[in-house]
Amino acid sequence: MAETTTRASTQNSESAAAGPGRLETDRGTTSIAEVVVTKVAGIAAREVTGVHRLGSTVSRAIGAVTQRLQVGDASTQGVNVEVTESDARVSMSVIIDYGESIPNVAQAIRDNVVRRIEATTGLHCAAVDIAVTDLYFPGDDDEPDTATTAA
Amino acid sequence: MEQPGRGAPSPRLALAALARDTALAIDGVVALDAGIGGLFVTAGGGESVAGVRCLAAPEGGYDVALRLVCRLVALRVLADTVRQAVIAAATVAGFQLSTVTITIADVVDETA
Repeated sequence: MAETTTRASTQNSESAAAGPGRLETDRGTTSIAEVVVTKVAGIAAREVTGVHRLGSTVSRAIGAVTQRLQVGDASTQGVNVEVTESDARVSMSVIIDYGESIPNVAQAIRDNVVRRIEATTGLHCAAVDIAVTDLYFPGDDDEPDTATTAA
Repeated sequence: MEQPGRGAPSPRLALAALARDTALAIDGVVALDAGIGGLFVTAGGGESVAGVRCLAAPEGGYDVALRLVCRLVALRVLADTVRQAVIAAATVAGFQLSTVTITIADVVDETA
């Protein structure tokens, strides 16, 4: 299956409308590391029903190695974040439970990730790109293949 | 020959320790982070305070920077709370602060 990625900008959040962008105050600045936003996004995605796990087979294999070397973190696996001064753009790969509506789960992921990032970090979440890398069938103990489908 | 002032507690270190203790006392702050290589410290006289950097500010007083590890709460609000608390504690202790820079270095995933 060819990989297709859905991109949806989110312009309707209250915090975005309030213009939370700048993290400067008159007595110093507040900055939030990318890994923080990455973790928030990963946790938010895992909260959604129908998400089996994050990451593709390849990224999880690499992640398993990096975790053994204690240089990786399971909560950031399969999630990439770009953070500018005021915006965050998230891309993530997910494996979804077979039988769930992929568009519905993808939208639920997107909504939850935006809500969590904006509530937790104050950053405007400009986009959440989701790649569904495979489906999980109950009883599958091994990692599924890396085939990717549209979100 | 003994150097003047040697052995006396460094005001910079005292301020760093005060900032660290103040930050850790705030609900939501789990730890301080010393950064890559553990270089984000205030050091002097053989002692160091990890996760806090105090530097003399050009206009007088000190610039204080903290790297925090936090729980998943509203991070900007928490950062503002830490900033205000550090300024208040430092003022009471007689320090003049110029800026307090807060970096949320990491969060603790309590759901994992």
